[in-house]
Amino acid sequence: MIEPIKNKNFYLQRILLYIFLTTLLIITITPFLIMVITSFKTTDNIAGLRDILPSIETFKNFKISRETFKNYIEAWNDGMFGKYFYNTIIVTLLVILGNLIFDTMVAYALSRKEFYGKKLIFLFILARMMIPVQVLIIPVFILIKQLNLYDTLTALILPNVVQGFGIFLMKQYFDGIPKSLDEAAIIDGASDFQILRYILFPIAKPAIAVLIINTALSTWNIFLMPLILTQSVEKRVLGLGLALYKSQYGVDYVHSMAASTIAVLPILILFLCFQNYIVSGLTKGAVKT
Amino acid sequence: MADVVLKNVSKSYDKKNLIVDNISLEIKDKEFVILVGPSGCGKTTTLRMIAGLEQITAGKLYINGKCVNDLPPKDRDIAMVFQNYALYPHMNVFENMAFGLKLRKYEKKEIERRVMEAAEILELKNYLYHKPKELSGGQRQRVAVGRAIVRQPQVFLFDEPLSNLDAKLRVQMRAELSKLHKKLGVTMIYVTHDQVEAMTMGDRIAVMHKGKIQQFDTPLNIYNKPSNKFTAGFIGSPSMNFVESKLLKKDNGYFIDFLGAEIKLPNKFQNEKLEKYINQKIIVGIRPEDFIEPNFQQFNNNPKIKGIIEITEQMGAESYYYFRCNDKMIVVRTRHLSLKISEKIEVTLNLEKIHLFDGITEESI
Ligand SMILES: Nc1ncnc2c1ncn2[C@@H]1O[C@H](COP(=O)(O)OP(=O)(O)O)[C@@H](O)[C@H]1O
Ligand SMILES: [Mg+2]
Repeated sequence: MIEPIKNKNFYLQRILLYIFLTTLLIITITPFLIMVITSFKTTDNIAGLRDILPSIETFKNFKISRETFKNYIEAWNDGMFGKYFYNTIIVTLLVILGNLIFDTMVAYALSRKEFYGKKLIFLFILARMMIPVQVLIIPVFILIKQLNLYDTLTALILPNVVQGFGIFLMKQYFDGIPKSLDEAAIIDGASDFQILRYILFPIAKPAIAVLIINTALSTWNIFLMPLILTQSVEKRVLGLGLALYKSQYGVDYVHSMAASTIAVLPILILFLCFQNYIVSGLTKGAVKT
Repeated sequence: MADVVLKNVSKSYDKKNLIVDNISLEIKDKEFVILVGPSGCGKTTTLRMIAGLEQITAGKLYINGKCVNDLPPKDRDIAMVFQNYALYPHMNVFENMAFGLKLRKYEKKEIERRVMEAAEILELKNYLYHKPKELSGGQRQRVAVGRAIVRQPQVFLFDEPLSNLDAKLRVQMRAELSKLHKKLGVTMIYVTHDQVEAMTMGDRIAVMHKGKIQQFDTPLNIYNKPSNKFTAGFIGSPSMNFVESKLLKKDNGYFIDFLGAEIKLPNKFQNEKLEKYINQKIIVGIRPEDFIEPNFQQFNNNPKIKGIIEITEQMGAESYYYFRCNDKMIVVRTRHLSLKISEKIEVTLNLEKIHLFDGITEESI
């Protein structure tokens, strides 16, 4: 590749781009900063909402000490928070697993097989993605009730194990993988399942990473579904638990922010683990370009 | 033991147009057969039907005497090398070659032995743990061949395996594949659009055009006795010259009208086969290499044709001259002349080497 000649215009564009990106970064990160900073305050230096907004004072008073870290321990030990955390992990892991298996299977069929009504089915899947959960919650509720799954974690898992987004994502990625790889595998003696498992799945790692992150994010934060489909405190997940936090001691900003920070951590770690994978280009060299 | 027999095999994707049109081939055990033809003539489709990647619309396919129409590829005892290699990008060279064996549940030791043996033959030993993207075109090509070898199938199928290589490597791989064929003693079916590959590698060549087999014979027979105008024009470079002509009968034999000159056909053509073409349109073909300079004594009495050179192609050892004679572009291939554009050229036909074709069916007479 030939390096493009860099002129003044190029640098100007760069500078504008960085200004834009920095602004975006600040907008995105501020709430997180407020959350983390607040979580390290002591209950005494919070009188009202005004004390939460960042100011010079905030930074001056900000310190991580054994005393302020206590907020975290208290938040964790408070009530059922640990249980919520555990429930959320179970639900999220199983939903991710379900999507990894079922989304890729559906995507494989849509990408590689010819069958009657294929276009229509794909259209339905796309259409389903556009319907918000609020619209679907009533029929899902009725279904769950009839399946005798009301107030179980299964009620939160089952409706989500296969999702339009994942199917769409994986199908698009599979479509970009040359079919001759499948054919080589067929000649090598592979079955459909083996082609998916040993050829497409590993090649589609970048898409799989996106699928995992995305599913984790959306499942970790579920709120409406547990609100409607569960009842008992033992079946609560984090989203619901945090929302109901205030009812414990009135509005307890410090502890609820500490709890929120804990709740965000796993997702953050997951993202850091996978960010390298979210770069495609793995198929390079398979087929002449 | 594996012969491959196609009996009246046809293929259609849309139930209307036949992409492969009623072809029959009998490929013997251990034979190296080349399917050659212009792009789009149905070679790949034919090969894919043999491999089992494509359903056969009509006809029967036998491998080793057994009808395999409904057998999946993995049970046909074949291996295929794809035009774009189709190496698994996430596996290294070793894993690429071992994949088929692993699926077939071979023992680990046996897999290792076979892969090592193939790597030895193909000189890939130093690259076993490289990913395909770290290899050169020639190496990738050899991995693709290696993946086929390790399975030790009875029939190898190649789909234009050399078309992505540069000219020098192509010549080298051509020789290596021929060597491999002798060494392995297996049946090979090799698809290419390159007539040089066809001529140099095959035991027999099947020339395809518009989904039909035009001729199936040894390279020399195809070169010397093309069955029709298409084959005559396709094999050989530059292509054979074709001149529309008329057959005449006189007291002392058959004559043709060749670019305005009346030429008596040599003795080998003087037989009753020509009777029905008297006064009919026929096509005369002569290869560019079958012209001679007029001052070669022994051909002195042969008819001459002349013109002004319009294009020259210098190949070093020999030259191609394109000139117009009676408004017909003729190409001559020779090593005896050193002429330039717009100079006069005069050459003599080697009449023994001309070909006659039916003016309508274009079949060889
Ligand atoms: N899957 C397919 N569906 C429809 N038409 C096809 C398909 N594959 C090939 N063809 C058509 O069949 C013809 C022959 O193709 P192919 O066998 O690839 O030719 P070749 O290998 O000789 O260049 C082409 O005209 C091509 O457009
Ligand atoms: Mg082809």
